[in-house]
Amino acid sequence: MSERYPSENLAQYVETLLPQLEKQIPDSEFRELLQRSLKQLADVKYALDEASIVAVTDRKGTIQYVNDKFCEISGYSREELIGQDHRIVNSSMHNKAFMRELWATISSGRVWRGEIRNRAKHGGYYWVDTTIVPFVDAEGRPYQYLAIRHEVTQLKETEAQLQSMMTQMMNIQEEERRRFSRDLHDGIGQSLFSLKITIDSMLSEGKDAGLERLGQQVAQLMVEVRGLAWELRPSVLDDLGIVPALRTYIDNFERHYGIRVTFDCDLRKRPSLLAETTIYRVVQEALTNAGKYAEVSEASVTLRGLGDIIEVAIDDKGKGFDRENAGRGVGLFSMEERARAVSGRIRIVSSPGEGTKVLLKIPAGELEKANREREE
Amino acid sequence: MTMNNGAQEALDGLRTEIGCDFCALAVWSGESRVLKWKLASGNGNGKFAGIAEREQSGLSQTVVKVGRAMSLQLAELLASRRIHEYPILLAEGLRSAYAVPILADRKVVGVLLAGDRKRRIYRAEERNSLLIAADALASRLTDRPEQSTTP
Repeated sequence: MSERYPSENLAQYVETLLPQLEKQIPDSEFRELLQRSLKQLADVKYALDEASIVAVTDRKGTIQYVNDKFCEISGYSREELIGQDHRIVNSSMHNKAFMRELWATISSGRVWRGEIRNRAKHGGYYWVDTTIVPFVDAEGRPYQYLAIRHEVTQLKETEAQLQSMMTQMMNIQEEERRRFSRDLHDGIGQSLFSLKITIDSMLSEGKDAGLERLGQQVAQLMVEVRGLAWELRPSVLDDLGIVPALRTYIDNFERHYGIRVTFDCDLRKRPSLLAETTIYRVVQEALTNAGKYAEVSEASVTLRGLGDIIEVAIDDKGKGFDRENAGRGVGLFSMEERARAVSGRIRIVSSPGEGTKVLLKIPAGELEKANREREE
Repeated sequence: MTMNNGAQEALDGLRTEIGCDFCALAVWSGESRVLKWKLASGNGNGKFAGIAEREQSGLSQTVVKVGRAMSLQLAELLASRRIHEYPILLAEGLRSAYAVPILADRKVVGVLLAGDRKRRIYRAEERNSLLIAADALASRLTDRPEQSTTP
């Protein structure tokens, strides 16, 4: 370590420097100024230590200083920490790209902010909201990093719980819809069918205007029940997969709204049922929005299998909207939640007069896993 | 299918008579159980011609099924989350509409709709005009298509 700076550890020398100033600096006005500045520095450091988890490392990441709060939360003593690097609290939660980005930011002299999960000595995990400030030398090269952290474990846990509740809720809803749909189709639908057969056989024995009318009404009821079952959740989605399900949905949509939809798809294999449901519901939501608000006569849906991700795009060149004024935006919210539930991402690009593009990306990890599950 | 045996003129005339923005005629096909918009007056685009309403919802479930006139207000449909069941309102950006059944032989064969792009309450005499027009259109809907099927 060739370059050593006088204040390796934050304000370490303030206390010893202060009494020496009397002798060293004859100019009393300047001296007072200096004294006050130094005192202030020490006070700020005290306040920081009281409020936050603080660590200082050299430019290689070796820990030079930790405050009591750091020791307390990590469960390590100061002696165990100093001289180590931050890998000691690494929870292997964050991937290499994450760490690379962090180091690229701070080593170029910029401040990094983010949330990190760390591992304490006893094996428990804690989340810290982290700000890393590089201290740079005259040439702009960082010689030291100051990391200020606040614990946000509870926040993160609540966040995760909320997310999992949300996912569960959507799964339960989907499961219920599937059940109702099946019951309608196979239960009431079948009963109506046999009723129709009975009426038909009675009709074959002798014409009767009233009976004929009854037959027609039963036929109509059958169509209604089938339609209801389809709307709840199309059985095609479970039986044949997303592509035939979407084709039928788009067909119905075109006829209902009088909007032409071009459907383009190059999916080779079936994604997981969860991913299929997500795609179906997102397309449904996005198209319904287009039908209701976009004031267009055309729209397009594209499904692409791009190696390890599936990309779904729903486009229209219509009125567009402003996110801020998109009303309660229940639809937008549920699309985002659905995407998150399968670790996908959704991007909604729209502005007034510019049309709307909904872009959903689902990682194919889901895909392969699902295929394996299906084979097992 | 051509059906312009004075029906278009009837729609245009009706629009002037009650002073509404939009008038349209839909035919209910009992066989395929679909309500299709055939003619319009004052339309802002051609979308109406592509709309085929199925019987589970909207006008098919109300005007067609019950055979009674119905008043539609955008605000109410939005509040009850049923606006998607009325694609003709969406296609033309209507805020208010009044729909009456076209009856032939006590069966519903179509729907006549008058609509406005602003909020409007249709008065009794306006609603009556629509019923009379629907009656006049009924004969056109039932007589003509059978004739036109023969080459």
